[in-house]
Order: sequence, then structure tokens, then C-alpha cells
Amino acid sequence: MICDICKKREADIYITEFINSEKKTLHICDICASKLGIKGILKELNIPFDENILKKLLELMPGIVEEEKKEKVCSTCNTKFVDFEKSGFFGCPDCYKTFKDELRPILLNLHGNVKHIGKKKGEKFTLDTTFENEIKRLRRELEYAIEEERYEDAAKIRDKINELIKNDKINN
Amino acid sequence: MIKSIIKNLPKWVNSYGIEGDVVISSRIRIARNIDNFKFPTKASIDEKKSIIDKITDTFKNFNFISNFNLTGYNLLDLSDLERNSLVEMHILSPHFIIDPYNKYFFINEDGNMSIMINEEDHLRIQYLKEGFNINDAIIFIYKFTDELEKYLDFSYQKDFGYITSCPTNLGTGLRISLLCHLPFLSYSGKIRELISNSLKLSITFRGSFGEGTNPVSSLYQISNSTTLGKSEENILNMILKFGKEIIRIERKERENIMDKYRSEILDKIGRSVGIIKYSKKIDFDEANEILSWIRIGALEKVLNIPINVINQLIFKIRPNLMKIEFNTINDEEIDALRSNYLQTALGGLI
Repeated sequence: MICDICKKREADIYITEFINSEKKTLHICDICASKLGIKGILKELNIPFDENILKKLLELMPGIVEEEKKEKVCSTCNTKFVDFEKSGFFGCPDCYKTFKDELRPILLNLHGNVKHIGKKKGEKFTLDTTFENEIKRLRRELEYAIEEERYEDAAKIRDKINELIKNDKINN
Repeated sequence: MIKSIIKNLPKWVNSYGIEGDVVISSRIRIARNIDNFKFPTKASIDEKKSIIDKITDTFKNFNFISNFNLTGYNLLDLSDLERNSLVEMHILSPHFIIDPYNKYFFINEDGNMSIMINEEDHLRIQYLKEGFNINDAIIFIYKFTDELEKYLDFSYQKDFGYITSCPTNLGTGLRISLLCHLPFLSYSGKIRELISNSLKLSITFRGSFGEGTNPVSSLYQISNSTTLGKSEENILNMILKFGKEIIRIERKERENIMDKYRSEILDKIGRSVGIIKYSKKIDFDEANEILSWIRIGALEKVLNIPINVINQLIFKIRPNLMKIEFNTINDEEIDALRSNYLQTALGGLI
């Protein structure tokens, strides 16, 4: 079924509402649904904004999204998200691309973090604690903190960088 | 070569390292996978074989074998007893030997370094050092792994770092562990509080004998529980800091307890000596309990036994290593043989 809004993409969400025993179904793709938001969807359905309906939709929507996650399959190794949930193992490196969104809460739970800040591929590991290296490392951490909108952390890191630079000037 | 390591134990067990009263060994493990191959948990037999070929060819062609004194073994060529003994010595993981097919490993000449192929990940590279010696171990292992990265296309993604089959190892793929003997923190019960506090610090603190088996008395393994969102150096510093703190509080606790309960502790040590001298059967759990007290006796200089001799015994008395020592597979004989073994090993010293 094609999305009723953009008329291009395949619809992922079907919302059926009975108004005065008349059935009305709206077919929406993921992208349009997130663009419209719940209020927009209600408007499309010509339903006045009502808290009860909102609650009902909220209950309904995560369920739909959940179902979709579990049906997603890695095209390289055929691993389904449920396979991972059962075994704890992914099948191949591409699974990390396929299930990127589903992984976020899992990684947050496991590591308290979702982004790698360690050594990059091809870089050599060094136990270098020289001034230049510390600054380089802190600047990279600052970059990530800003990117992830962790502004409190970013401020702390920035202070640390300034302090290091100040101390270096005093020492020299 | 492998037979000699099983018989004589790896170098890290035979040596007494820095802060060795508390930290028996430091272990670094790195997980890596080769891009465009399924993980071992999903790969077909043929794929697993080609992973082994790819890695062993690289080792041969680019002098890893000669430069690091490595010898390779097909896990199937080892007996069940040998495989289990290597797990008892922390050279192989328990998971690695469950299904011995299409598994291969390398070990260096002193037994401190081992590389498992087709464990959970294509490569599990580990290095152990006696005592509290993480810096040396981490420099050594990255020298090896970074060199290997020139020849093998490790799976890596910008956001997730080094890709592993289980997300618990994602990012750096780095696990640093300390094997600690903490009899005084155990004796006072303070260990429980430490274990629960360590969770908040991204540190796993658990009773040891490796992974998933019964804990051995007063032996604990401390390791980082997170691998993503921290740099290798952050992880290293975290374990260094926690390790230093553990050493400090175990020593402080030892001082306090020896001060307050000296006669009780001496009684326990004396009884343990008595059991070794006169018993006819010692099971694994009892042997661990006794050796823990004997180790305290040696640290307190009540007994004149080198600590590394006791460390060796802590490993030697493990069930599979005992069976290898006495060339038997009979479980019923083992307890008597263990008692006999301890009497002989400590005969002139107690």
C-alpha cells in the first residue's frame, strides 16, 4: 500500500478509525508519520484533537514500531532482530548498520554511551600522555560531546583544555 | 610445546610480579573481526575454515610466528583433558572449547600470549603478565594487534568502532582484568560492599575461576564492564585507579585484622598446614581454602614459602591439571592424588 501523504513510499503504519460506523483508514510511511507527528495525523484523518485519542495512538504506535523492529532482517546474513534478542549475538558486521536504531537503547544500557571514541582503525595505540596528545584527545572528546548535545560535559572538557594550555604556558 | 606449558604452567603463573601480594596477574584481551565475513556464531563450516586459513596465512607470511614465537594448534588435535587444562590456566576461554570443531589457536613460547580463532569473534588476542603490570601488557598486545591490522581488514565502523559479535565488546574490544587474592576483604565481609559499588564505576568484580564456573575462595577478577564510549587509555586508567585502590584497602584490612585477630588467623594457617601434612584426601574446594590460608601465612612470614610456589599450586590443584599431572581420568582418585601432591610440593617447606 502506498503512503496516502507522500504518495511515493510504501506505507508502514495503518491507522483505522470508525467515525459514526464509517471506516476510515490512513496509510502512512515512517518518514511522513515522523514529519506529521500525531497532531498532523489526526488532522489528516479529520479527527478533532482529543486527548483520549492521543493516548490511544501513543499506546498503538510504539507497538507498531516494535513489531517492525522484530521483522527487520539483515540482508547480508539473514539475522533477525529477534535472533539477536534470543542469543545476544549478531550475525555479521552489517547487522550493526541494519539494526542501528534498535541498538541505541541497548548500547546506552550496556555502555552508557553510543559512540566509539577510542583509537581509529589504522591508528597506532600509544600510551602518550604528552601535552599535544592530551589536547588532541580532549578536543576529540569535546567534538563528540557537542555533536551529542552533552553540553555540560562539553563545558567541563573545555575548562580542562584551557587549564592544560594555561599550565603549559606557565611551565614554559 | 603445549604439553610443556601444561606441565610447567605459563610464565605469569611461575613469576611473582609487582604488588604480587594482592594482584596475581594482569590480563589484556582484544576482540577483532575480519570485515565481510560472518561472525563465528553465524558462519558456515566453510566460512570458519577460510577465516582460520586467512589468519594463519597472515601469521606465517608476515613473520608473526617467528617474531612473537608463536605455535599454532587445531583445537581438535588436543585431548579433552588438555583443552580443559588450558581453560584452567586462563589460556583458552570456556566458551572456546565447548564446540572444538573449526577452532584454532596460537600460543607463544612462555604461555603468556594466546590467540583464539573462531571464539565469539574471529580473533581474541590476550596477554597475561604476573602482578599489577597492565602498562607493559597493553603496550605488548597493541604492538601485536596494530601490526596485524596492516595485513587483516578488521571490521570497523565510524560510530561503533571495532565491530564484535556481541555488543558488550563493541568499540575498543578491550577487556583488562586483574586476578586478585583478597582474603582479608573477604574475611571482614567488606568485599560485598565493594562488589556492589564497583557496578556504578563500570567495573565488573566477580569471584574467580575464569568465566561462569564456581568461584575459588578469595580469588577475584576485576575488569572493565564497558568498552564503548571510552578510549583505550580511559579504560586503562580506570582499571589502574581501581586496582591501586583495591591494593591499598586489602593491605589496610590485612593490617587491621592481623592486629585484632592475629591468634585466630594463625590458628587457621596452622590448621591448614595440618590438613596438608596429615590428610589423605583433599577436594578442590578444600584445597583452595587451604592454599588461601597458606598464602596469608607466607605473606605474614609465618611460613617460609615463596608466594610464586603457592600461586603455582593454586593452578596445579585444579581438576583437569591434576588429572594430567597424574595421567588419570578417574575422578575418584583425584582427591587422594591432590592431597599427596600438596604434601610433596610443600614437604620441605611446612
